[in-house]
Amino acid sequence: MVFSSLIFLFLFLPAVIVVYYLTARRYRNTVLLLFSYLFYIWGSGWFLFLFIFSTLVDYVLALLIDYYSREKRQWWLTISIIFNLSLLFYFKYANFFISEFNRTLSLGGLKSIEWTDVILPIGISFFTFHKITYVVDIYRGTRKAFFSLIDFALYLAFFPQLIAGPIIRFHEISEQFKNRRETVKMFYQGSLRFCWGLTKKVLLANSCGEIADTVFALNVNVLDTPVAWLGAFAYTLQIYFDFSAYSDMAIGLGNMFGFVLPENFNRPYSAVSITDFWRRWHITLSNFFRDYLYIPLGGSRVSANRTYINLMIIFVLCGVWHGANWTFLIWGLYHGGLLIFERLTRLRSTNIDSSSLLIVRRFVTLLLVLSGWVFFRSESLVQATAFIKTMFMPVLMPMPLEVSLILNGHNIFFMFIAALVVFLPRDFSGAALILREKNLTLAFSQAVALLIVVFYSVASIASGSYNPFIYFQF
Amino acid sequence: MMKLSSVYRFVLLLIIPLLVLVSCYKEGQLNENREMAEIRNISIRRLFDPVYYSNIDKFINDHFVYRDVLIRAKSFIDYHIFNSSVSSKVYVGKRSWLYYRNELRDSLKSDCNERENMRVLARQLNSIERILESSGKKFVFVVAPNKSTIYPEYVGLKRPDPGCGKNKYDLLLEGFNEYPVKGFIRLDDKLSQAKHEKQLYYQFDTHWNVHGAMLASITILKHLNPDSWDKYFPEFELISGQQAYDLARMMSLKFSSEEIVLKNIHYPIKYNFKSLEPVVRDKPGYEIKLDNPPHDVIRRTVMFHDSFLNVPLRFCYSSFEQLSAYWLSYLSDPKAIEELRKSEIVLIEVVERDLSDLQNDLKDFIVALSE
Repeated sequence: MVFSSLIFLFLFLPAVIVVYYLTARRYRNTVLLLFSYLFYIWGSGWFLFLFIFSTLVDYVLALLIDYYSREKRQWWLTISIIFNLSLLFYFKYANFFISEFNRTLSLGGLKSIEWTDVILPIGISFFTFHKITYVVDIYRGTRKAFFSLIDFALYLAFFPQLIAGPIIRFHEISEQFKNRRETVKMFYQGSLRFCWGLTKKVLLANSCGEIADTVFALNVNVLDTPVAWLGAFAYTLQIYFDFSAYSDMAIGLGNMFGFVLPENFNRPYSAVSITDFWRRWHITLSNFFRDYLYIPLGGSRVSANRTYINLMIIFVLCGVWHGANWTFLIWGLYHGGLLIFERLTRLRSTNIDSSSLLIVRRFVTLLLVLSGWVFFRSESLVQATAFIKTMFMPVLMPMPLEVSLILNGHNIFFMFIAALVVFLPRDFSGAALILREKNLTLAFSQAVALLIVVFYSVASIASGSYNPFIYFQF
Repeated sequence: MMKLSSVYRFVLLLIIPLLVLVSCYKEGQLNENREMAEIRNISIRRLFDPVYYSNIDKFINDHFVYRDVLIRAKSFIDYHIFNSSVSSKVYVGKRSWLYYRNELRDSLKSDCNERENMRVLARQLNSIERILESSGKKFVFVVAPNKSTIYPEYVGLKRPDPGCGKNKYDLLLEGFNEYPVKGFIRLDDKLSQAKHEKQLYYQFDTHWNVHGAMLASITILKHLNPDSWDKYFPEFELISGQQAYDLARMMSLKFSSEEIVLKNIHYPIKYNFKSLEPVVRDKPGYEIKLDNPPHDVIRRTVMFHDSFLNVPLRFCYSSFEQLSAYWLSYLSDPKAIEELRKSEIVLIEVVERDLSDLQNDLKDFIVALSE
C-alpha cells in the first residue's frame, strides 16, 4: 500500500483516524500497531510473521541489555546486531552474491550453485536500522528499554515511517509513545504537510519520473547528449521530489497522531559542496551513520588518514544499503571520494561571501550530484558508464519517438515547476511556507489553491488505472 | 476555530467516498472496452498473499465511487490546459488533432526493420491471389491509410533523420515490386489528392469521415465495376449531426463539433439483410443479397474488413449481387471460408497500422485456402 493510492487515502487513512480518536487514550498505541500491521501485510503477506518474530527477539534482547551489567550487555548487543544484520544481509544481498559467485564460476567453466531467489521483505532496510538504534541507545544508557511490547512493536512498525523512513533514532521519539498529546494545531499542520507531500509526489515526481524512465529505458545506441542530460536531470528531480514528498507525507501522518518525526530533507540541491549536500539529503540516514557507525569508528577525532577510511566505510555501506548492485557501490564510493577530496582541498566550508562564487559552487555541486544519480538509477555499470560517456562526449542523434511522446505539455510544465527548486534560495522551504501563520485572506487563498492541486492530484491517481482500448464504430 | 473546521473538512473529504460506497451509489461508467477488476473470495491463505491485496487495490481503483468524475476532470484539464491526453494510447497533435499512438511510428517513416516482414506479407498476398485465381476467383486487397498518413501536418513530431524514410506501407509497396498483387487498390494517393478540397478524416477519431468513406467506396466500386459502378450508387443526404469519436471517448471527453453525417440513403435496388454467424460481442457478420440482381452488378463477394469499411460499405449495398461481410479476425473461420468458396470475389481490407498483424493472420488463411 502506498500513500498516494486511492485505497490508502479513502479507506485506510480515514479508518485509522476515526478508530484512533474514538479509542481511549491508553489503547491508542494498540490501534496504531494493528493498523500498521495491516499496512505491512498488504504488501508483504507472510513476512509479517518474520517481522513480528524479529520484533520479539529484539524486545527480549533489549530488556536483557537493560538488565545486565556492562560486560554482559555487550554480548546481548552483539547478538542483536548480528541477528538483525544477518537478516538484512540474507534477504537483501544473498541473491546478488550468489548470482555474482555463479557468474564467476561459469567464467571458470564450473557448475553454478543452485539457488532460488529470496524475496525481499518490504521495509527491511529501515526497520533493521530502527532496531539497531533501539538496542544501541539502550546499551549506551541514553534510554531505557520499553517494557511495553506494544510500544516497542509500534516504534518499529509505525506505518508512516515503516516503508521508507525517516529513520527515527530511538532517543528522538521514545518519550512520544507515552507522553504525546494530539492537538488540533498538530493535526491541521499534519494534514497540510500530507497534502503538500501528496501533490509533490503525484504531480512533480511522477511527471519527472515518466521522462526519466523513458530515457533510461532507451537502448544506449539511440541515446544522444541532450537526451542523456534530460534523463539525468529528470531523475535528479524525480528522486528528490519522490523521496522528500514521502517524508512530507510521513511527517504529516505522524503529526495527525501526535508524533513529531524528524525532518529528512533541507533543500539538498542548494548545497554548495558535497559535505553540505549530505547535511541536507536524507538527513536521518546521515544522522544514523554518524551516530551509530562513524563516531564509534572514531569519526574525525582520529588521524586524517583514519578519518578518510572511516568516511569511505560509511559511504560504501551507505551505497550498498540502497540496493544490491555494483552501481550502488560505485555511487557510494563516488560520494565518499568526493567528501575526502573536499577535506583535502578544504572545500567543505559553507561560508561563502561572494554571490558569484556561491552560484558556481551550487552549480558544480549539483552537477556532481546529478552525475552520481546516473549510477544510482542505472540497471548496470555498463549502462551507467555508457550514459555518462554520452553526457560528457557530445553526440547528436534524432530524438527517439518515445522521448518525443513523453515530452508532452503536462510533463514539461511540471518538470519546469520541479526544476525551480534548483534556483530557489538556500533557506527557502515550501513546507514552511505552507505551514506559516497567515492572515485570513492569504490562508483562504492558500486553502483554495491547495484544494485545487490536491483535487488534480487525486484525479491523477484515479487516472492511473484508466486503461481504455480503441473500439470499432458501427 | 478555523483550524478545527479545516480538520473536520479534511476528515470529511476522506470519509465521503466510503460513505457513498456504503450507500450503494452507482457511479457513472467509463467505456474502457476492457474487463474491470473483480474481487476474489477471501480465505485465510489469501489474507497473507500480497497478490490478493494487489487485486483489492485494482478493484478499488476500477470501482472508486468518483472515478468517472475524476478521470473526466483530469482529461479536461490535461487536454485544454496542457494539450495532453489522459490516455497513453491517444496523442494530441497540432491544432488539437488526436491520433492513435500506435500509428505514430508509421508517420515517422523509420521502419526499415520491418522490411522483411512486409516482403513476407507481399508474398502472402501474391500467393492468395494466385490460389484464388486458379479457382476462377478475383482477389482485391485494400489498405485504409492511417489518419497520420493523410494528415501528417498535424502530427507535430519531427521525423528522425537519417531514417530510412520508409514505413511499413512503403515497404509493402516495395514488396509488391517483387510479388505483385494485381488486385491491390491504392487509397492513399486518392485521399491525399482529395484532402485539399474537403477534410476527409475526423479530427477526434481514427477513422475517415463521410467524405473519406465515400471516396474509398467509389474507388473500390470503380475497381470492381468500372463500367456501371455509378448506376447502383445510392442517393443520400448529408446533414449536420453529432458524431461519436473513438479517440475522444478514450480520453473521456465529449466534443460538441458538428459533423456531416449520412442520412436517408435510398438504394436503387431492394436488398435483403441477414446477420451471419459468427457473432461475437460487437463484431457481427452480415449478408446483403439483392432481390433481382441485374447482370451488371458486381458478382458474389466475400469481404474481410475492419471498422474502416463500415461506412463505405453502406454505399455499396445495391452494387453487389450478394455481399458477405466478416470482420478481419474471422479470416480463417470455417463458415467464412465456406462462403468464400461460393463467392467469385474475395476482398481483404486492413488499416495501415495493422499490417504487421495481418501478416500473422494470413498464415492460417493460406492454409485454409489450400485445403
